[in-house]
Amino acid sequence: MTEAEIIKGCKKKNIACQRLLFDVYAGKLMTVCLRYACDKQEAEDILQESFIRIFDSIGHYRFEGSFEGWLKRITVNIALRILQKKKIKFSSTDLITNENISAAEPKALSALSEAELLKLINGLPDGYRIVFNLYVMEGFSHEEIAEMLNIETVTSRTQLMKARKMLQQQILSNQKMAI
Amino acid sequence: MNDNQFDEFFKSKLGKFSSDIPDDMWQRIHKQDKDRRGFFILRWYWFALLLLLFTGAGSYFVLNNKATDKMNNHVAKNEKINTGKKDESNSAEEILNRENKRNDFIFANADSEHTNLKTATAQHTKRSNQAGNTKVTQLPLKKNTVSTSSDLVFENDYTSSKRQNDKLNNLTLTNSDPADSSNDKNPLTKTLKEDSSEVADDEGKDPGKEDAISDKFFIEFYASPTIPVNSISSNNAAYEQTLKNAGKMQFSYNLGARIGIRINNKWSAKTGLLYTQVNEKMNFTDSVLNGINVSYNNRYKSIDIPFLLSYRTQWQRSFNSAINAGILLNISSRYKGAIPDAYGDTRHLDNSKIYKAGTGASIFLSVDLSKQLQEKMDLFAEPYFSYRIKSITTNLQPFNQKINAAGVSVGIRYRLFKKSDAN
Repeated sequence: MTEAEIIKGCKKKNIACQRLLFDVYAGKLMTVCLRYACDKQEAEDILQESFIRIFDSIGHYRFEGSFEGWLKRITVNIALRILQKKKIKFSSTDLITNENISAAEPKALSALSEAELLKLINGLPDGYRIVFNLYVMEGFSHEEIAEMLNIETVTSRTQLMKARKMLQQQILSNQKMAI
Repeated sequence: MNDNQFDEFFKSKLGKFSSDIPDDMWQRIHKQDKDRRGFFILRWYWFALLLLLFTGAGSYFVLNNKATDKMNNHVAKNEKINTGKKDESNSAEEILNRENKRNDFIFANADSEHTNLKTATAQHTKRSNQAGNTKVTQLPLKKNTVSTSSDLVFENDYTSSKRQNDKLNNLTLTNSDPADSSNDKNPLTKTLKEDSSEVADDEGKDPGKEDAISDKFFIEFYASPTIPVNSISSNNAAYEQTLKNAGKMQFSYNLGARIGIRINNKWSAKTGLLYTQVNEKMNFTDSVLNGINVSYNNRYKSIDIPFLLSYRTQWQRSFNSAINAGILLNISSRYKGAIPDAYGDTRHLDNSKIYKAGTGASIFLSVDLSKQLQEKMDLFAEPYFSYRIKSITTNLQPFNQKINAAGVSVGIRYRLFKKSDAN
């Protein structure tokens, strides 16, 4: 079946088409969920809610733009809703012990697997993690992020900067331990 | 590596990556979706069954009451005839007296025919000479009257022939000459004036005492278009405005059945079942769907049990008015559709526990205006208003909502029992 046929079947609430859609996109959407969630359990909850919402809302899809992109945006929005209910604090507390962190070497980065990268992102504080994902992975601007999260633009920029530094610090620490 | 390269590395590495998912994830999704859709349908069947049982019980009472009435009429007639058998000397006179005192209702035919008395008498004689132990004879018609079922008399052979002669000799004529009716062209009035002792004049008579226990029980079936009055409030002013702007009430209706018991001349009590469906069109922008405008047809369905007291304010034979007041106790409420939450996300009503399954009581007030159609059946119109006492939203919701209702019910009332003996 083509993607269009699967989508049309899902609009008609066809269980088989819904299962096909799940099989094709569940893995990629789970990656999105793991990027936003604190742990795996929370990621599974986000994924479950996302698919329920996708099946409910697929009737509104107008075959405009990438379908995968549409699914990912819904998943991101669901993740944000769930996280916002936890009342995330975008504090400016410095969790970085050393401001003078040298940038991670490309070789060190390329040695990291996808799972390790996800683990690094999970290790970020909530505010850092959300802004990093929205800016780097989803491609939103700081102004858009500020509106979505109801924060100041400068807060969004600060959170992103700190997120990068923390990730680099973690990568270097792991590299030293490996050596 | 600069910031852009660092970002790009993460994006390229994780952008297309598929993670492992739990084996039971599909079953969890499918079950949650299935449970949400199946819940309402199952409950709907229970209501349909309840309504069917209620209607069936009411129909049984109605049909049983009709059969009982017919049987009682036949028994009463037979008893009247049989009591005259032993006293032969007075039988004819008593029979004739009873015949003269007809039922309460004598219906004058506006196009009444002027019966030829001799022809009628001849016909009567012919029929009464027929063989058989039991004869059904048609009593001779009085002028300007029409035959009713009470004209049929069950007689035995002995009394039959004797009665014939006595009746012919003592027959009262209302008007032997059709021409004499020219002074009063209304045959009904003419008949009423001349046979005033026999006619029950319903108009102007105080029905209060006589009709007091004429209908002990009654059953009502009714339907109504409903005007829903939606009331929303929230501490979040922006969200309150979003909800008010998003929703638009549509044509709504209710269906009901009630059984009532008359307590005395003026008071009666009613209870039954009431099904109400309030329809609403929802249009709003869904933030999760990236600003797409979505619309839903919301359905608010409820089943209530009314507990009403009715006070009859005015009555005549054919027209009644009453005031009804009481409460509607909600026993089940179901919802379908969606509303926006405070973040602009769509929240479906059937699985998100936004509204209560049992919404408590409403105050009900109405005016009952009824017109008699038949002896036991009335047509009634009932303007009403119901006010919900408490909000229908659950405690954790950031808003309160009450759906009040107004409308005019139209229905049929059937009186189940009629008094058996006149005072």
